[in-house]
Amino acid sequence: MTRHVVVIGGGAAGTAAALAASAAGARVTIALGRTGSTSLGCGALDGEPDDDASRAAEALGIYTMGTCTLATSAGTLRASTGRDRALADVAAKPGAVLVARVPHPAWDADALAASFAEQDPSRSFVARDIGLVLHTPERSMQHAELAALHDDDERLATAATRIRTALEEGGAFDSVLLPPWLGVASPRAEALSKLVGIACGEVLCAFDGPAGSRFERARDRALGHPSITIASERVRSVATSADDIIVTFTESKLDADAVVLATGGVLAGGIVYTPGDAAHAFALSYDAPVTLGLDGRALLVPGSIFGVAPESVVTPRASSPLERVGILRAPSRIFVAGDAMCDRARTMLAAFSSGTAAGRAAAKLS
Amino acid sequence: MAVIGGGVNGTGVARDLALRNLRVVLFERHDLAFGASGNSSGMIHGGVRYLETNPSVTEDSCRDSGYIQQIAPFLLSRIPFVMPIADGKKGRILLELIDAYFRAYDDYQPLKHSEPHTRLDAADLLRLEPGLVGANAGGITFDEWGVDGARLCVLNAIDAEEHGAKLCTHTTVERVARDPESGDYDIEARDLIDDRRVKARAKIVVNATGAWSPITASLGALPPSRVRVRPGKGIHVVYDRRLSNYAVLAEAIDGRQIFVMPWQNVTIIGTTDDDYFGDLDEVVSTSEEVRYLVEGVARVFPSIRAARAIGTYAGVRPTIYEYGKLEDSLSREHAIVDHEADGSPGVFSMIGGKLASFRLFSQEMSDRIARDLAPSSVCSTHTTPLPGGETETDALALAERHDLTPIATTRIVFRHGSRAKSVLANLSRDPRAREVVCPCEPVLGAEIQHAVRVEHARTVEDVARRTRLGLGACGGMRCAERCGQIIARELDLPPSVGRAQAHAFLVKQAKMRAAALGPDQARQEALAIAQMRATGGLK
Repeated sequence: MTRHVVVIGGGAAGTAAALAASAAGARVTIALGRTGSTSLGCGALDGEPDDDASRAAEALGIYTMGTCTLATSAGTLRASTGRDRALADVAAKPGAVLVARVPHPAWDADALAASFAEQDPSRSFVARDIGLVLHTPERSMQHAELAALHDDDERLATAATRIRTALEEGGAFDSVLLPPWLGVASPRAEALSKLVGIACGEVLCAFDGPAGSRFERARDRALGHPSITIASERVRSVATSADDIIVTFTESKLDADAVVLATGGVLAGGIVYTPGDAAHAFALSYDAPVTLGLDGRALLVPGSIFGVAPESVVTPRASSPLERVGILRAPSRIFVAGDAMCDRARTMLAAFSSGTAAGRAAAKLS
Repeated sequence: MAVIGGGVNGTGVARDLALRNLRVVLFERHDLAFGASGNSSGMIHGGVRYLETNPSVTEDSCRDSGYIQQIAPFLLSRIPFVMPIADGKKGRILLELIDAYFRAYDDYQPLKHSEPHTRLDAADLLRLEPGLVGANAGGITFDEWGVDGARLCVLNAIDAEEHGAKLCTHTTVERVARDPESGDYDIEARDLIDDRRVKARAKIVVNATGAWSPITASLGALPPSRVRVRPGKGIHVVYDRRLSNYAVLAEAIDGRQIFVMPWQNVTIIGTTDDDYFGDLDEVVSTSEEVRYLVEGVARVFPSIRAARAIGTYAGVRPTIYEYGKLEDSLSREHAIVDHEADGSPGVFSMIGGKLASFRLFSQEMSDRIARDLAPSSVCSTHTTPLPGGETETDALALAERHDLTPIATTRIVFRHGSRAKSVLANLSRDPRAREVVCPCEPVLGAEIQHAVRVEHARTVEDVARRTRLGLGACGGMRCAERCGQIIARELDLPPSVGRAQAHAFLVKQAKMRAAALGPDQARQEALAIAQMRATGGLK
């Protein structure tokens, strides 16, 4: 009999779990939930690239693995172990970089070029006008809206023409850095590079960029497998019974042979901070028979009726409990993946890796 | 004249002396309004609490509130207060007594252009402020004026500068020594940002360093015990929006009066008053203090528990020293210490005081100095407009002229008065100046440029103090880095310095927010941490 696996959470971990469980022969129902850290993500694949993680990332079709250097909207250059294909790998081409100057309030090419040049003095970063903004209303659009415009082939061709015009003004450039506008339906950097003739890519933009939307589109395509059903309701509770697990949604119930909890941490809302009125500082945002933990042990009841001292929860310099709190233990047939696990690195690759492992284990459970 | 301290007293004295054509240099260890002045409840109140014991203080306070409205009308905003009176055995009598008390206060209201008090029955009280709970006998309303303490300091300092004063911010005085021959004082200071040494010579030295006063005195080889203050820490919690119609008075568990108050586009609750023995440069709110305030306010205004706290701020009052008294019963009076008795003629310390009385205190200090040096001079700080107070400015016309939103121009006029025109002058020269850098307020690029070029802002934190950038719901995660870029460009600093400033600001704000962390804010904090990781700000 085909096993029924319910995956809760549609971020990197949940998606990887659903795909792995489906590949292992299970019937899968996945509840996507709300915006979490993957949907808010920036397109950098940080973390350890093990086989499960690499395969899961590549299965989505929008990522490429391999050490790279990403230019960020904050003006930094930083390493990553993989990236969304729209993002420029600054290390891939050795020579001068053209930074597109556009009349948009959220993009100051001159400040960025100066900042990149300060960090990598071995090469030049030159800001130059490129007519990527075609109409005045586009100046007040968000990055993701502008990225969606470049899904269109004609618009992309116009962008390529404008970039070539700028390149013809002189100077030898090996690559072009663009605002995070290169597609939402799919990453458009490679298509654009082909049209222009040299490498074009966008900067990494945390939370305001289109990378999270690109993930969601790629996820929706990948989940379009006949063995996978997408549940539109929200999960209220997960409970074990003698021989299966009951997942209660807002309006309906499902029986599952196994469940994967990939509901994220505090950032995603899977775990909520509950000062004062609860026995613990943190709680799961839905009911499930699991134990939350931090630093390898279950959460303690605080020694104050007002709850833990919040100063101990937010420590901006080192790793904060907000980044580490998660599920420590779960009963058999309930698997946990991604940021929902305690004490794990909150990275995309860790989520892909633990998601794949959880999905496979859930499907194979005897 | 050398003035040490860039709070409201230091900048007030510097302005007063500069207006009398005396040459002034002002040193500030951190930034203008870094201490108590920039972290107060933001009130130019009429001194209602002194009415019974010392009505002349009330009269002076009200008159001075009127003066400040005259010299900077744009900077003040009316804050109507409501004081609910709990029902019970004493409730009705208390209402009569308080009503009578405020009837006496009414006599002074014309001086500060305030409305007379009104007496409310229980039903009226609820109609005005539906968020109130509990059985109330009724209540009274009265009227005070709010001010942005940081703006007040900056405008005083700028006016001093425009009248010839020299301002040295982020410059800490390290030594004050008397030249035995001339009797002048040599001041050695160090710029804490670029480590540059600064020297000055002055006939008169004014120590206006608030809670730091004893430390400053010791730099001039004066006995710190001569300028003893009893530092009293006060914190405020900031919420993400205006939660009430009126400022509401409440009682804390120990009977102290506290309040919840809509202030600019947020709400603040305050304040505590606790003896402080810590580092004055790093005053941090604690969750203990936050809970004390929240529990007290929640008794009359319970929805405060569900509101989203987006930050706290903390300052230390330079209260005049007395041993054995409770914090609240300490005098808020001010005093001038003449250090001639300590062998340092011409050196004065200003201790005590409060935001609302800064101009009077500054006048007293300046009159004392001018007595010997410029006997014919008269104080004009109450008649000369502060920068921006010269003429009225139509924010809507500005919005139309510059194609900006009326919200943006209204808040620029609120902060800059008629100088709004010069803040916006750069729009035509630099297309990036119209960029909305901090959407919470909104703060425009032009205002950041103005803060750096004209108002002596040198760091992201300085800009935040002047513009409220990064102090809204996003906590700076949308604007601090951009602000750092603009500062770096304006001051010709390496981009990494601007970024480091932005991160220092974000870390400090996170620390200040932590004490008031609630469920919604926890998610925002997790997002802020993830953002710093994503862009390489946090390894």
